Amino acid sequence: MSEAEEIGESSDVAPSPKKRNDGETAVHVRGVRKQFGSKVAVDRATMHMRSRRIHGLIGPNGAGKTTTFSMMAGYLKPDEGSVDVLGFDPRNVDALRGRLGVLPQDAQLPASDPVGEFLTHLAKLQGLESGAVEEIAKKALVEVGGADWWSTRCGALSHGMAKRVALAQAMMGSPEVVLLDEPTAGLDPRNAYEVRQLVKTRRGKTTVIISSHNLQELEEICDFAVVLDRGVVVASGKMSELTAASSEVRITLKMSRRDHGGNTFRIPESDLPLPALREIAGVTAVIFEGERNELVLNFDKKLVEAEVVIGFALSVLLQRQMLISGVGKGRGLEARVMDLTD
Amino acid sequence: MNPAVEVALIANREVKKNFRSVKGILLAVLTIMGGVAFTFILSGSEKVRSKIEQQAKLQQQMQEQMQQENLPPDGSGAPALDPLQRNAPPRGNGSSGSHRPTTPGKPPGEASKPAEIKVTAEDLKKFNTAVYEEAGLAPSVAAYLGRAPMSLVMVLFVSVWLSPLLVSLLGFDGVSSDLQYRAYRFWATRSRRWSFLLGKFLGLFVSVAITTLAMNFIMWIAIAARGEEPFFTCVSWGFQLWMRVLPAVAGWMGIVTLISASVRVPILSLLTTFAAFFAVFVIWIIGVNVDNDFLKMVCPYGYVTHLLDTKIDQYLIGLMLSLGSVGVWIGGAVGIFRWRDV
Repeated sequence: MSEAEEIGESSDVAPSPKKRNDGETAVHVRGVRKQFGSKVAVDRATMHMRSRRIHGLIGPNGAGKTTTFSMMAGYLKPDEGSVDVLGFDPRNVDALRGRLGVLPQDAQLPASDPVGEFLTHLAKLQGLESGAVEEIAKKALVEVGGADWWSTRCGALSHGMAKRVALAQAMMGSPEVVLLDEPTAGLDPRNAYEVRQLVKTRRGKTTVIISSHNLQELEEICDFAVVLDRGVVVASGKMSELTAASSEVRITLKMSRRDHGGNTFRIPESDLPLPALREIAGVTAVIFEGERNELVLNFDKKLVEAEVVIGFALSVLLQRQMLISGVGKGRGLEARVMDLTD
Repeated sequence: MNPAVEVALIANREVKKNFRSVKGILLAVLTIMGGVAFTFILSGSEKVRSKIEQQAKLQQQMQEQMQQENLPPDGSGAPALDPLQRNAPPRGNGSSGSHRPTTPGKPPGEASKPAEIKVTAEDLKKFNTAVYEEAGLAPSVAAYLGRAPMSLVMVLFVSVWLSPLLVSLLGFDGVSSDLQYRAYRFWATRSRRWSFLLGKFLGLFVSVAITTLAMNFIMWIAIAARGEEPFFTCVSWGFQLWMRVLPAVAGWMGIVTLISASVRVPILSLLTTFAAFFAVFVIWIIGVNVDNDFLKMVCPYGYVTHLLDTKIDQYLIGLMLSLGSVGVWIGGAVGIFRWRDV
């Protein structure tokens, strides 16, 4: 049994396929292991990526994200296990031509090639209709905000511009599966935002797998995530499950006050209306985490929505004249990943 | 996609890249400048060559005269046929006499005057053929080259000897730089690995062919401009000779493609290429000295004489050897590149 299965993947993770391509799962990674010298980069990792969803590949440096990503793209051959993309070995270029787009990390564009010529060349190799390759390449370039770069040599582009050209070649021709390794690394906030919006437009049409360190970004755009640590899958599932966003509400309170004499004092925890909060319909547990001054309300997502719980909880707290600093659903991906990884 | 289309697309881009990159432009300029420099050297050696030809004609006349006077044809004082032996001291008394020919029974001052000797085209052919035979070429090859203008034959041999240098400098980073800077990853999902390599090889072949043809063309113009040979003769003979040796040059390209696909770091690829070329050259030298056909055929130099042969079977042997060696080297390259991590 894989690590992912051992940790109790939720039903949102697609079951292991019995045939190479079941139509529901775009990418299967089954027990892959990759070793570089004495270092094991990925150790029997198993993951299944659903079709037409956006997936995140998460983990700290050295977790094995890029190695896993490279095996999905066919750059690296697993020492053990197998990888299927749309039911085919990722090295089967003929079967996947035009169906798999990849943005590799740190791959340099050919310096002497003009951008337009480079994209057109790749579009031709991708098997796109010969009469339409230029139009498709231009469209891809426009999508990443590089309409003016057609005649610019790749070597003359800045890092951010080159990254966007690389993104354009990955998205070009609307492939069924797109693998993006650090798509917004090195981009300014505006361009990073535009790239995120571009990826979001593919939701429901394309299977997108993003490897990134930027957890806020992944939390924002991904439907599913796989967390890797030291080459092992430590968690996987829906993003909302991983962050507990669909079954947990967190309310941050201001617990310190000033008396009339200007002295600061801390409200005792016994003053918190925990019993009243537990009586809210659907709420299953309420605890107070003193270190963060957070009230954590767990609820049954089948009975009640998070927003309803938030409304009632705030009402109870305001009646008790509690000061509220913040409200959120779940702990957030960052906190979750910190818990899962060393 | 038809593999031939894939190969053609990659080869086409490779040619453009070679003539657009700084390295490619520099090499092309240097090669063409080398052609110009060689033309000047040819011009300087023109007087020497003229004297050699006159000497040969003189010797022939003397032999005819000696035969008429019933004197032994190897009479002392007669110059050797081999022009390299002309400066050897005369046999017999051991004194260092003049190498100028003398007629027996007449004082040296009364010898035939070179100015009176007229060298016909037929004399030149005979002389050139004899020179090539003396140099160890097969009679059919010597006869073929004997008909060609000597300047062009010199150009041919210089081109052949320098071709490994051009091939190594132009091709050492053909694949290795794409691996080091990971640019190959843009192609990995769009082209079969073998067709990528074959495209790279063909691109290099066309680049080298164009460069050497340009170099030859400059020399043809120079030779024709000096009135040594009519331009049409230069073009017809020069093109013929260039075409004949091109398959042998492809052997070097096969080796450099294999090394470039095996070594990720371009500078290591260059050094390995130099080492491999030198090793192959040494093996050829050994093969020539011990008269071992197998050792001679390891090196592309060994195919040239076959390719210059007018006997169709010999020419086909040369062609098959060239293509066979390319097949072996490219086959090895594909074997390595197909399974390696990129």
